[in-house]
Amino acid sequence: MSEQRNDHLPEHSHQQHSLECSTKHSDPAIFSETHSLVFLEKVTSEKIQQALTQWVEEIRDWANGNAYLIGHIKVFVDGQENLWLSSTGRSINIKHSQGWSEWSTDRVTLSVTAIIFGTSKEALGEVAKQSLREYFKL
Amino acid sequence: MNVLLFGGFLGSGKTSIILQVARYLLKGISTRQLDAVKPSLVIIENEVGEAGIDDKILKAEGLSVRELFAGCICCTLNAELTVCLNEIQEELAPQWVIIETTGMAFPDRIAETITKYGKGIDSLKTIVVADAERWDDLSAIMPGLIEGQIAEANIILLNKIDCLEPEQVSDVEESIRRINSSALFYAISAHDEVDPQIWRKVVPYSE
Repeated sequence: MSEQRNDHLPEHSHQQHSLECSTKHSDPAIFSETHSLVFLEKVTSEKIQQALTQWVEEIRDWANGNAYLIGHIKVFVDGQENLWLSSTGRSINIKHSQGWSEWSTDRVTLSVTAIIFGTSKEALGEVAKQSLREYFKL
Repeated sequence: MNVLLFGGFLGSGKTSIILQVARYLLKGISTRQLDAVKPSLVIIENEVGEAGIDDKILKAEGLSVRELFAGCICCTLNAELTVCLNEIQEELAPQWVIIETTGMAFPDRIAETITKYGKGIDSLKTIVVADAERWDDLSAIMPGLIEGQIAEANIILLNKIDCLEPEQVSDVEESIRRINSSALFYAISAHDEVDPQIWRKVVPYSE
């Protein structure tokens, strides 16, 4: 996979929502969704973090296993407390608000984005959605 | 209005760095200004994807954020950025505006637009974050984008140096210097608190 910059290419006049400005040979596949999750009972922050870390790992390992380039994989859990996960293909960076570790809740807003080069939006969406369904019954 | 334009590839650590820079700048803004109804620092967030994440991270820190989604401000949302920036100037006239570009943008194009059409701008600095951990991979796979992002930067922050040995950091610096020899260069790890001395040099209060 390679790309070159060419300011004079016609794509820089742009189709809507295109990212061809920087990747004339390869647009990345983007999976980006927000979900309001309501659980049947209160769930600990540890369990939420564990499930989402596994989600990031699955996308990461799938991308690495297929030699795709990971732009980034990001997760943000929005509630009374917050969790932020990110990875560019190696380790997973985990940050959270001060009270996160002691928190439990029956609802959160979950935002996820994965940007991967070398695959299709459909293939990425399938992997990403399957894992989310598995962990959160979406 | 002083504008800090942040560029750099996806996952290079722009948001983490912006959080630290914002905290540093807010410390330098007087209590009277902080008490004012209008924010002294506004962040414009341009993200790839429908679900914004970086904007939520910044808002969770209590920062004032404007979002520009579903397009790139160096091309498709070029006009929207100018409108957004000029609205901020007219409505809030903050001391600082930080713009976080998508990891796919060429910051020099955005700087050109801002310089040409932006109103009430006292200073503009282009700060590009380079990913030390993935430098070799990214500069081999996407040389046009990576070099294009760095070439016109005023300041280059080589982030994630904690992932490399010191001699590897030197090699990356040398490689970056070959692309842009005139920019100020700092090697940092935004995973930890960056030495405020660096922010003092990058964004002096006096500006």
